[in-house]
Amino acid sequence: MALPATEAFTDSDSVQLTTHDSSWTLNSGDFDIFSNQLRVDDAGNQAYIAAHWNADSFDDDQYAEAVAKLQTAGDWNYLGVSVRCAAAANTFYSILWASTASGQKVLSKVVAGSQTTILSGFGAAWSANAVLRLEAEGTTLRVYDDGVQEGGDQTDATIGSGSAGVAGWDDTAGNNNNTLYDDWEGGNLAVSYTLTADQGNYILTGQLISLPVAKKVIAIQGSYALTGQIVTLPVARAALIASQGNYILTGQAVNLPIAWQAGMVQGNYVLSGQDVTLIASIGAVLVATQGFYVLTGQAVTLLLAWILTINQGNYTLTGQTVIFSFSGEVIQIYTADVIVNLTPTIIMLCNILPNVSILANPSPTKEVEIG
Amino acid sequence: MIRFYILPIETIKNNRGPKYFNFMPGPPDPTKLSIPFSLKDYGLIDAALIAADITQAQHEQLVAKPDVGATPLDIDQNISDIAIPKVIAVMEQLRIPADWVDNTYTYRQILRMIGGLFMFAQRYHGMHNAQLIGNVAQLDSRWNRIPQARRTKILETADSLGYEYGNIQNSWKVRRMLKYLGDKWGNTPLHFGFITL
Repeated sequence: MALPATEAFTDSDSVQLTTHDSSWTLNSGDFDIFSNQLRVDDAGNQAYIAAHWNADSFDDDQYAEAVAKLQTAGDWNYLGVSVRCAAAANTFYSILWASTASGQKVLSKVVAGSQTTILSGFGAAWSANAVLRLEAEGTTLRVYDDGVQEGGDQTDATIGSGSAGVAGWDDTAGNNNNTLYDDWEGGNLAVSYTLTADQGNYILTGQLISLPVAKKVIAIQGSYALTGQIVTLPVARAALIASQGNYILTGQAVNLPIAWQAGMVQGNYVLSGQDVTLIASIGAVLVATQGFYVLTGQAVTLLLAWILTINQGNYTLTGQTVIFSFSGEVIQIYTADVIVNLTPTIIMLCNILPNVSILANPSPTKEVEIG
Repeated sequence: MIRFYILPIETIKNNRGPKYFNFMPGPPDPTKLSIPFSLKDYGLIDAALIAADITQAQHEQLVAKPDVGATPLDIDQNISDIAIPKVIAVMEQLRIPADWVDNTYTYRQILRMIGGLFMFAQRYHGMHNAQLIGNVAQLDSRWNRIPQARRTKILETADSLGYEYGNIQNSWKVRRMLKYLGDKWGNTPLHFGFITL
């Protein structure tokens, strides 16, 4: 087995979860399957119940998610997901979602069968096909509803490790077909500190690609390839350094927002897509020593609020609408096939369109030559 | 084991009793529970707070009914957040105000408030041969908007029980009045035959 683990609950009706797949272990209560979905099947003890995936070993920092399929009003069993389930004890964190107008998500910890609410009554109202997700990272617990975090970061240090799984509230004895979840997934959380590829490749392909890096991304010889409909590589107050590797982002909307520093020694930044944006906000340094910044797309924007330094590299912007906005010295150039020599350091080439207009608002000490 | 439930009362041939329980003379209905129970009704409103000597299998049969509210075996634990929606729904549909229920209350405290309110309703029934409130919607009527005659009857009932009610405000809703009156039972034991709340 390998993580992330997934479960589609495909089986005959009324098959118990642990019978369906021995990869599941009950922490408390019981679950079974109906219409190829998960449901509560217990004794009506009004208890928080859970089961976990036992076929893989999870990191302490883990997640579980599932799709909420059905929650009939007036039905009092609830389902959700769990993380850090103990191997055998009735101990776990869980997020459950009741069918009230207020949403009534309940984030709990259960320790040896004793439940404590960490946060309740938060989040959006119940919605079919929403993905309910619970993450545990260090002492932080996070709940997501269809990718939107709800309830903020919650802190609890009680349960430090375990396995991801499913959870439920057993109100009504027996099983019923009015509370159903599907498509469970459990796995380890992505690295939140350093992402280093010495020789390897990072390839992310999908509809929504996001590689958020809060500290440092280093590609020494490897490649980062992000391909999808919406591709984002946000680097917040961090260093993005390509020594010899490539950063290639290809998609319909491609974003490389950098809040601090992006440096390239020999590598390339290639952003290709319909809407391509390379944003370096105030305080950021965009340095190309020998590398290339290549932005190709329908709407290409290279926004720089501070410093753009090229020693031997190139900045190439190619597209239907090309904007090079450099607000540090208030120089703006739109859609120009022009070589702009901005004393002393910057050289830029753009594809040409007719009726070029150039807005230049230099300081009195700056010269702008257009050839 | 003894467990508490809130459920509707049904009438069979002029006999009122707990729904899902056998209470009529003659051969028992096999689909209902034939077990010892002790019940307090909501006056002439068809709702009951019942203590039953029940097996686990019988309990599972009973709590599967959508109009039955049950407590855990340990009624001295605080009500769980996840259980609150059902508790509120079951209580409100039986004209028992439940907007005050939150996780700071134990199940025992909730049951005692309900029991205290039922005792008031029974006194009201005895004095005035009427339901304390006519329907669920009246829970949200303002005290000073309900007919004067009914307000008088309620206050007369409170007088007969020795309740002080000087804090009542005209702006209060009926639901708040009923909670107030239910709480007036105080710490007086509520006896259910084989068990006391």
